[in-house]
Amino acid sequence: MKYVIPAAVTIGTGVVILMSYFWATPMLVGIRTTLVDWAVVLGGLAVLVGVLNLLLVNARRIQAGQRGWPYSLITMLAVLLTLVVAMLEGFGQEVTPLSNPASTTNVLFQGVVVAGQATLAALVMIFLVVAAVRLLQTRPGGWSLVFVAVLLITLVGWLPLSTMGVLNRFREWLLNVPAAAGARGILLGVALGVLVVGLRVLTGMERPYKD
Amino acid sequence: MLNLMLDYLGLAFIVAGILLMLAFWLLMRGGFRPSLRPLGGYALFEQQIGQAVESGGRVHISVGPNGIISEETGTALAALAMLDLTAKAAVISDLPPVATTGNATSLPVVSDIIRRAYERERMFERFYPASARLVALDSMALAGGITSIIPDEGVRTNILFGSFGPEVALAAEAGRRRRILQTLGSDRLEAQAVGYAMTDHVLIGEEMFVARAYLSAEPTATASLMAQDVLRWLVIGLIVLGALLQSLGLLR
Repeated sequence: MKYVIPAAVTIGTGVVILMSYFWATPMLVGIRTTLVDWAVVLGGLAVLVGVLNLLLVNARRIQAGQRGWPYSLITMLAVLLTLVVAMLEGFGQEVTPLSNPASTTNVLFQGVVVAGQATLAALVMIFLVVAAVRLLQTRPGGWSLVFVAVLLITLVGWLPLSTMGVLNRFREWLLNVPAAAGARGILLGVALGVLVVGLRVLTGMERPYKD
Repeated sequence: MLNLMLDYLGLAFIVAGILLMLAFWLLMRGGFRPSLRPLGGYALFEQQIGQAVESGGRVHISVGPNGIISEETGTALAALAMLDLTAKAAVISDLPPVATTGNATSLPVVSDIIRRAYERERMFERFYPASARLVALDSMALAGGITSIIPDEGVRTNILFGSFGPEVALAAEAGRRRRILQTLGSDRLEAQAVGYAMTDHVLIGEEMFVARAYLSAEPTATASLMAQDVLRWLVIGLIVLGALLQSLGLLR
């Protein structure tokens, strides 16, 4: 009985939601909307649990004096500061402080989060180019050579130089024909994988709640 | 009209998928055992976890920035299946495994899966609640956070499984610097390209969705994999048929 009820709820909910997409009757759409609303509320609560988890994990790191504990302290202070500022600014307001460009919350978000993400994104590009070149050392072979050659052609082909018309056209062909064909094949595979995982949940074969 | 046709085609696919899974499951119950083509990411899984356990290191698995209430739920479920298998293999280690996520909705499930892995092995007293961690609510920050977890927590095996994008390069680079074994599975092409260049094993396309079939002896998982294969050939047939009809001017 321990797993019958969760399985019945999961399968029943899945079937109703799925049916509402194929037969959009007012009753089925109404049930779907209610269930999605519940999911949104649960998602909001999950964020609160997540913040508590973040604080707990970092508090334990500080308590244990683990390597890098000062960063945990900074993380905790930043979380609490942002939380307090956002709550004070959002109190009694109709719009969230994040959507107000003059709010401190927005300044914190733009100045810290967005700036930090942009920095990390720039690092990603450098790591990728270095990794591609390193690939020739660690895994020398035909496919690695093709990988690096395509990468270089694509990168150089972006340069807006008139003398590189042939290279630009080759890059266009490379992206539009072999790369697009391969990408579609892989994405079709991913879509089938997602479909089968969904069907496994729908038929009770995949039960994340089962021991 | 076309939309209605596509709707029914989708429904036909779902029904066909369920019937195929059922048929293959019955075949397997009758003793049928198919041979699976080897996949590098799964073939060395036990060795990868074993190395971390024997060296007294920690296993890290990230289930990515995807949640269980989004369009990426399928990927999240595949990642959770991989977490289940990883936790089961890694609980015997002196250091508890660390599972990270970038989505709050996955966190309770991640924690529950690790807890149950300890319970199954009758080692509940060794369960460490902080094994499941919400690192950030954003994929870039999640990848950045993993770069500090890998060196700070003695991680010896790194498994990245989820809807990662190119930012996964940050986490993979941290693992490469520590010279640890890494496996990447993502439903996004950019991450798969990054994985090819930066990790030991990368799972391409639908390969990340078949972890249970390769790493457990569950007949239902193998049946699902076989159904997936048949559906793939069905899609290929439909594409070829569509191209032929279009070329002959019969499809408008």
